[in-house]
Amino acid sequence: MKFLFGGKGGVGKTTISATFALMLAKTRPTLLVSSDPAHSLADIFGQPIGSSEKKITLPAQFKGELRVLELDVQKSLERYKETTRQKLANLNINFDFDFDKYIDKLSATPGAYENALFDQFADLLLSDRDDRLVFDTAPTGETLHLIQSADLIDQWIEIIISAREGVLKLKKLYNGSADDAIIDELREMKSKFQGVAKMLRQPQTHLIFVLTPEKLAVEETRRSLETLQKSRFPVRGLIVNRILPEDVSAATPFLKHQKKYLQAIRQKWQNLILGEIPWWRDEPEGLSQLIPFAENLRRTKLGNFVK
Amino acid sequence: MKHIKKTDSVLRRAMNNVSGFWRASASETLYRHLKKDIRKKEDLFLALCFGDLLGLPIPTYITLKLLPHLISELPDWRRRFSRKRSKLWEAFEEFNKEF
Repeated sequence: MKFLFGGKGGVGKTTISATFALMLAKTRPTLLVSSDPAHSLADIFGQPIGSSEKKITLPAQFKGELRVLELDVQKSLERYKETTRQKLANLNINFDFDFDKYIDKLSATPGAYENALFDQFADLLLSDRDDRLVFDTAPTGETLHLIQSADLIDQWIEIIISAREGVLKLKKLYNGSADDAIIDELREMKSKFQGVAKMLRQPQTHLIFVLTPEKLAVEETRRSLETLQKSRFPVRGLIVNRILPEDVSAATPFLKHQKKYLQAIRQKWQNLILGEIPWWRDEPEGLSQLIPFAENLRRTKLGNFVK
Repeated sequence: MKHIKKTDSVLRRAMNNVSGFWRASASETLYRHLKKDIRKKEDLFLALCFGDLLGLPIPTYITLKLLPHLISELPDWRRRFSRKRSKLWEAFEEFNKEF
């Protein structure tokens, strides 16, 4: 099963996805992935996490295990540059063209970063590992862009594939062979982009939005749901986070606002709500705080995922 | 009946020889043309892959992905392309001084 958490910045996506992953880890091996360029999983777990899977040491009552990973596009780009440079050096050709500069230019163009991130994200999403995957995505805009950029790049890949097929048709006439590394690469790209679109629509993939009962979060969630509906990506649930308790006297006006928006959320998306998470007195940070917080999650409908 | 069959097979063999002759002499020309066509199509394919140099909105991620495969063909491509003095090459020269 795969879970993707999205939502406006600052609504508690990272906290919710971290605790949710922790909840799943109680019974099954779980991988938590941050695809937000501004990673904050390290802050939540109170320990450094890098671009390779890191195992979190869990208390004895956990039967599964939790691995955490922060996707790092910059690092993979550096690796790519190194291998390409090496390839060029091996060819030993005299060609006065500054490839480093060209690669830098290519990777700095709009979209390249999203595409590279999408590539890593796709590799994980499409891998047939049997542990549960939890994605902590970037704030709404970027996540939507990430998903939609797949459609755009797909059209271009189609054009380039047909151009390459034109070359290969003649080449086959010429020397009978139809093997081509370029068309293989292109087809692999295409199947990856299509695979993600397909995977996101499958019932075992859960696209879940986190929001708080506040105007801006509600409005942004509404827009995101509409956009995703239009591109036929089903949102499987909502988590309403940071609901104030009834007894905060000092925050009464704020409480009133929250209640209003909470009512609105309940009315509008009654069937989608998976959990309503109360305000947590301390900042959930480090395992000692996260584990009791995860209990919170388990008491809501989200608990069904561990059964 | 037998007689006709025999004539038929002789005729067929002769025809085969004739066509074999034509095929051999034509194939040389054919192959040369084919090679030229392949090169032409490949050049256009490369122009498409490096479309960003011309301002085509091709996602540069595709170019990045294909670059390691195309690197070996680039020097030849540039030589052929510049020799043609096509409109496309003029555009290339205009926009990409260092290429």
